[in-house]
Amino acid sequence: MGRMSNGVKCSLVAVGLLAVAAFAADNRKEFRYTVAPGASVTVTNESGPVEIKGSAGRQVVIIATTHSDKVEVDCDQNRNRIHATTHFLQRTDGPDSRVDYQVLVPSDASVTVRAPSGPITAEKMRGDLTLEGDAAQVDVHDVSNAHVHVRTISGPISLGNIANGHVEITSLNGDVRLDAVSGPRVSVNTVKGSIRYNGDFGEGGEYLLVNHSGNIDVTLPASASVDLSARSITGSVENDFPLQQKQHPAFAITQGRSFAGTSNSGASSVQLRSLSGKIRVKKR
Amino acid sequence: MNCAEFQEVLPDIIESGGNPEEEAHLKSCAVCSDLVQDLRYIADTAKLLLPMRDPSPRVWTGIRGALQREGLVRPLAGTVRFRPQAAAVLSQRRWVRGGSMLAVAALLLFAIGIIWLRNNSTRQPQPAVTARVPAAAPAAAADDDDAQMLNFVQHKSPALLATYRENLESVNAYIRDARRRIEQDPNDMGAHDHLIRAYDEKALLYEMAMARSGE
Amino acid sequence: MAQAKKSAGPGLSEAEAIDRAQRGDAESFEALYALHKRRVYSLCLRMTGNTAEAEDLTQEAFLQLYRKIATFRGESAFSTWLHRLAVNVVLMHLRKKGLPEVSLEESLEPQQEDGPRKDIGTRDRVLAGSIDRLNLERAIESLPPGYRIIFVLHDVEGYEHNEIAEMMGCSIGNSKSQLHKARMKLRDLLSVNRAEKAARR
Repeated sequence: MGRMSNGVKCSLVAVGLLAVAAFAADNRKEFRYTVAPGASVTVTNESGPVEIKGSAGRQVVIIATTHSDKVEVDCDQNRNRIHATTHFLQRTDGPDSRVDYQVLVPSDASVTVRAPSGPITAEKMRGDLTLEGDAAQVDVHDVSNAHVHVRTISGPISLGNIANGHVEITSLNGDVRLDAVSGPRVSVNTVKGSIRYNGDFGEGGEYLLVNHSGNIDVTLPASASVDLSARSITGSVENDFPLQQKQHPAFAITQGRSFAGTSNSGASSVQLRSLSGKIRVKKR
Repeated sequence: MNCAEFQEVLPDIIESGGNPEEEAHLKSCAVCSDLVQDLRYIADTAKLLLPMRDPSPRVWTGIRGALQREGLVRPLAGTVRFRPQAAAVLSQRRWVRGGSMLAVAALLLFAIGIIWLRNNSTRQPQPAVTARVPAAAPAAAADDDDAQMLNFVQHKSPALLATYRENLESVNAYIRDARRRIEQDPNDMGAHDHLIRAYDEKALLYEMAMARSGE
Repeated sequence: MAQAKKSAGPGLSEAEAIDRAQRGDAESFEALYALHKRRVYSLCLRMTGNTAEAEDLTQEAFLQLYRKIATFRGESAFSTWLHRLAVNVVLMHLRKKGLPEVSLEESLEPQQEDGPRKDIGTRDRVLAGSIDRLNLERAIESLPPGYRIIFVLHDVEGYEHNEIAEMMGCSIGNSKSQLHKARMKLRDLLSVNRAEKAARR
């Protein structure tokens, strides 16, 4: 330290003061509620991240950290419903408007999050998830027996390890990535976003992946049991997954633009549709 | 007329206006005037409340099970794809009364366009479809609606304006491409479905924009 | 697009869906549900203030719809018909629960605790421009059930007093009186809410 120049020392002091000031401006609040099975939790946060974690027990714990006195957090309980909402006390934008939420809920609770800037994460849940964010990155993993509905404008969406899920994803320009996602119904719609699916399309479900101009990339193991069709109207399709050709496909097959076939017992219906994007199906 | 007498007849005045004596009191008394203003404001704001959200998907699972148990349906497998955004807008009869919100009106017009399109595009493919589907009816109003939606976003969330503008261009390109394809081949049902999905995406954009109202 | 396994097209119109549902087509039932679920559920949720009850009632309303759909002859708009049916399902449920709706005997005389007279002579700041959607939703949730039902039916859903009176089995005057009290109560709730906020600043 003794060899440190005065300039460096001043900088360190300044950084230290800034850090203290930043810490002092942070205001962490914790709200705790006890709920019955089937509770519903709604979080509305105009700016900043929302993390949802499922846990054992019957408590909802909401930890909200504000970074300025221009916003406040309202939490209330009405019977089995919990609402947490960010309110603006003054019109503000940027870092001052940000609130960080960490929410611990019973894993069977239904959770609705609206967080335009996000990111939104949810994990270890068995209850329904409805997640909405304009530009929010959305990440959902380790969810079973639940409906997962995600809607974004431009935020990328990633789902991993979802079993017996009813999954509906709609995004305009967000890229969508699904890893080991299966269930009775999985549907993805995007405009320019790309769609990547890596898994076995299990559980005899209906899978529908649709976009306008992004790529659709599917990787599945040889053991997958699918009745698969792919069509890109003005784009292209590629397939290196072994399929048995169907006698009566739903549309006329055009080389390079569409294909259809089954593997194993064809238990799950898989439809891949693009208007002008590239669809690629690969064997894992 | 004093305040007590005025407030006695207040429920009727709110509904249908007062007689000259009551109106005179309203003009001269700030307390009663504030009260009437507040009550009308509450009623007007209530008219603009939207349907809150969809029920848990478990509700449909329950209904489907009951329908099957009661034998009310023929045993058909599968589900119909649906579009809650536009549908929810259309089922709002009282939105028409909230005419002061230009953006709401724009959304309504837009939704009508969607249903107009949907009703026409789902008929069996035949040559006449070409003339119906890509016709200019919804398109003419679309530019104005788009401008109003962007104005609304600029007012409510200026930081997100660029995101909305960019995505509006993307989704309009999707609609144009799907229409072009339908013009080339009116019997291409895949293209019809892309067009409807493109409108669904546009409805999502409008709905997300409108969700910012009042927050 | 190629909804390969589906007999109905992807963009079924409501009229087509009704027609097919009247003939027992399963997919059309779902299409009708998709079209109207949000509005019916929101109505149930606002009237009961309880998620689980609202879900049960939404389910019951649609089941009744499907049981009766063969009798729908198009005399009124389908959405109006369904909405009325849903309101009746909720009201029936509330009657069974024995919740206070609107007292039939209640006169138009304002009651001490609810009436407007306490405002006489005092001037509050007006609410205009100060309440947002969320605040109003929560204030509605906090209303006593009887007031909440009338307020939701009239001011949110747009029913007229004569329709409410018929549905609830009360007089038109009673409906007007309860609505007025509901709005007064909401004014109180919203004013308190605003005052608390101001105090925190």
